[in-house]
Amino acid sequence: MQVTQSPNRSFIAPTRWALALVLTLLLGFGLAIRLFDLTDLPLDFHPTRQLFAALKARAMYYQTAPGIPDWKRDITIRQYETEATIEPPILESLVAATYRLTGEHLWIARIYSSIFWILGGVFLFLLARDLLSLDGALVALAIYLFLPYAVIASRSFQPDPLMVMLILLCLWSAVRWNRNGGWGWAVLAGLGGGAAVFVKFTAAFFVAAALLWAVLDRYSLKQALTRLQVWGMALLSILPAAGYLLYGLYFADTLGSQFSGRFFPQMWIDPFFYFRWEGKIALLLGHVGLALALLGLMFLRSRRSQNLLLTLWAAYFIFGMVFDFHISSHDYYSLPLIPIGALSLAGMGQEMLRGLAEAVSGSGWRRAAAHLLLLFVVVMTVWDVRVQMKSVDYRPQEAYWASIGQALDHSASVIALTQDYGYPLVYWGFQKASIWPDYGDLQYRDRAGKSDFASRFQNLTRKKAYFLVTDFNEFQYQPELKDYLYGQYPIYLQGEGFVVFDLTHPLTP
Amino acid sequence: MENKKVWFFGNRISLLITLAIVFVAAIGIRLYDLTDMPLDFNANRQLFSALKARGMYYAMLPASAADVPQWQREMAISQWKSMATIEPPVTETLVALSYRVFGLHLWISRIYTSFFWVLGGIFLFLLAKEISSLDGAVVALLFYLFLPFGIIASRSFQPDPLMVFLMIAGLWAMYRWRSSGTWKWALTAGLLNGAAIFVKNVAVFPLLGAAVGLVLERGLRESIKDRQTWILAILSALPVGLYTLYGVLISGSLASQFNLRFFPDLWKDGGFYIRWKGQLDGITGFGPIVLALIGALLAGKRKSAFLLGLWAGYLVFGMTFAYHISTHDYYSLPVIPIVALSFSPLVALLADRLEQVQPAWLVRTSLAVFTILVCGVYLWYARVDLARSDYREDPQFWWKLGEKLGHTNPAIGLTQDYGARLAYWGWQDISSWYYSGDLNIRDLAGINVNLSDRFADQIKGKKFFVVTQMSKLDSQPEIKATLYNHYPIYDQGNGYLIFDLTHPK
Repeated sequence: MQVTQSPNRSFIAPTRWALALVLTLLLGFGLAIRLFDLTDLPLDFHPTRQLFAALKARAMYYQTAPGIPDWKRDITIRQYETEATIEPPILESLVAATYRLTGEHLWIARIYSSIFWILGGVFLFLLARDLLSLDGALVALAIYLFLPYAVIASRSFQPDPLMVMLILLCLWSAVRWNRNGGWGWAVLAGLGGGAAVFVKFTAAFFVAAALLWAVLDRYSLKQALTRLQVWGMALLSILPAAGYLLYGLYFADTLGSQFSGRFFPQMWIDPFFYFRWEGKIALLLGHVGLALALLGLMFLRSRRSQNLLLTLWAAYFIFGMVFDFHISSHDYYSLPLIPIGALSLAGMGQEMLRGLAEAVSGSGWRRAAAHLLLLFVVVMTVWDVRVQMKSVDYRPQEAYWASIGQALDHSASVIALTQDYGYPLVYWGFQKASIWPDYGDLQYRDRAGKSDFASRFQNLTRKKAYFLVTDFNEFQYQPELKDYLYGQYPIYLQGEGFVVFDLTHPLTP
Repeated sequence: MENKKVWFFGNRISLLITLAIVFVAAIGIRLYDLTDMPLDFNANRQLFSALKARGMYYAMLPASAADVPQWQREMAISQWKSMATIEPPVTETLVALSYRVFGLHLWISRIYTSFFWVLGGIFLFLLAKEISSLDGAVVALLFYLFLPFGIIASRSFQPDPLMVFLMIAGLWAMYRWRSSGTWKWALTAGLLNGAAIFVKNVAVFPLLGAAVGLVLERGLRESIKDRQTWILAILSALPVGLYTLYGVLISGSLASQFNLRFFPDLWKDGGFYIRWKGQLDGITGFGPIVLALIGALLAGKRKSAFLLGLWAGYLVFGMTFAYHISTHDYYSLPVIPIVALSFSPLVALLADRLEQVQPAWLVRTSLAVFTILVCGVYLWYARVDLARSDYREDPQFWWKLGEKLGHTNPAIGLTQDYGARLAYWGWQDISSWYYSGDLNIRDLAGINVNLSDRFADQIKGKKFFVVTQMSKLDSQPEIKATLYNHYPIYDQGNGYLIFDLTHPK
């Protein structure tokens, strides 16, 4: 095989202009696809998590917004006050602040999250340039931006896109500091890492891994302990979250319950835990994608890059073992794996492109075909995601939930077997409700200790006037509940997609 | 790219042991859940073959030796004879002959088709070794044998596994012929191509595509002057040519088989390409196809011509059968070996690069573990897929429904797989009323169907209208209303509804 192309010359972007064009196309397409179908309701991806944030943003906005009816303001703020505090509501605050300028438009959150993800892409590209060839970096960026799961997840109203962006900022700065040293990079790495952990505690695993790698790759442990920059990075990355944590635990008492029900070491010996976990990763990367990503580590040319990525994989693994229930049941917990997977896959991608460049260098049409093929992959992936977004329209749900809220007159004492922990009901219906647990929750609770149906029903429906059912699939899964409600209570009202039982007038008193 | 004589894991013994394990596992997973009913994959197509094989079997048996009453024997033979002829019933004949030896066991077909597919793996390995390396060949083989869709599809009762097997063998022989230029390989390639195209004529597309690729790579003028090229082409075309001529001009059995298959209007419809891609996503996934196309481009001149010819053949095939390629996943079955072969050069390239990575033992161990894990996950998912559904109870339902209909009363209806389940297990022939998809395809072909007229025409002489697919009836409100408003319900139960057409209200 004749090799005529310089091994260092990029196949995808051989000139600076070409690079500018390719980057513009990738980032532009990346943003455009995320803003497609912008005004659809955020029910396409983990609606509970998104509406949880949406309710917080609305409550912040309603606290000062003029012209909001008092009953709406009351319901919203009361709901906000009962919501658990998991992370500091940074994105929610940003969105609420924007509402004050633009009015309440739920899709504003989508713009923020999308931009955060795209900015993360810029840091990822810069980072990848330090670890891989230019082609490898472009491959990593393309995977990060266009993986179908990533497109959908990264436009969701939750702190994760911002967290991933900040992790990437920390990683890039840490790699730069590792190579060049200097207070500038140390501060940036510390601030990026600190902000990431502040936005969402789970970032700590990745930030710690990145900083540990950066320090221990440069210095011995003993040397590291004597370096001020190391201490500076450590302090900056720990302080914001530690401050928030201390405040939440000891002053505001908002975080007390957030560390229970998250750690189940007994799952480690259950092989199905690993299958479920692998299944979640497969949603992000695919089974083969995961295998190729791990294999891709071997194609990284420098030991330094290999060690960094191995450290990040190890961090993800430890993170998964600690949050074992969530990692195997909530796919978005694995979101930080996308940039790690993208970098790992890019190792193989750069070798592939190097081989392709060599093979097609003697033939104009084959070179053109190869470029077209790469463009085709991006276009088809974007198009597929577009089709996926367009195939579902959630907008009618707004009126549906509003009608239920209206039927219940917003103020009744209600317990509900309903979708997404009642968030759509409260968000669009302005109807607060206690939530009857779904089948998955019942299983989850059973891990901690069982309770029988009768006592559960008695406990949960105490002082409730109505039992609302909108989730009929769940209703089928709980035949005991279904039989009991139909057997013991009259139907108060029913309509398209919902039924309300009157708990105040049992059929057999 | 030079073909290496050794593979990544060193010696020949390890390769042979690996191949033995791979082939045993490939057969093993295909024979898992062997005796379940063939409803797991394109049931309509499978039962079409099953009805043919059963009819042939009873036709071979003297009436006295049949293990069913005379009316069933006659019905089985009549069902076979009334079935449309699409391809020569090669697999069906083999299965019917086996029934004579082992008795009528529907799962016998599963053994045949599984073996055909796995045998195809041998030729795929040999061919991939030619166009890439031993490493590339092993990975191509793993992909071909353990892809979950391939596992399920390749055990189905239809001619496709045999066609794919012969197609790969033909491709291998053609590539060998191009390398050696001998008469032996020209004749072998011609015979294998001819057999593949005879079993199912759509094999012509990839075979012709690859052949054109090789011819162009060699030089058109030089190829045309070569008598071997002509003999290969004639041998490839002869069996199916004769069969088609006989079917169209003499027996007339193939006359209607070219209708409703060619829809050039779809080419202008963006949705068609998305649906087609959707089918491919479900078969191999988009990622492997991209890797395969990259592999085809970087393979080297002759290999690229050969592989890109294969892809071009598949593309032309898809454009020709535009409706079917975008709606029937099994139409894309040949794409599995095409993808496997195409990414083998890429695997070879990556394996070469990996050989430079140190320490070698760690790389080898990791690679072995990853490969075993990926294959294990694929096998596991295929196993779960097979174990999840148990169709063994279905025949009982259809038999009872056949009893209610009287087995011999003329009926029409909306039942699963165009009435094939009712025909096979219920021993009750019915004319199938249109599914909404059938109306769509007629619409595409510009055929305007007046439903009321068609309904009135179709129910003439029929005693019952039987429905076991309520959703399909719901999707045709006009027919639903006609049935409920004008005909009494003769019987209904769990999963079925029978209207009495002989006593209109």
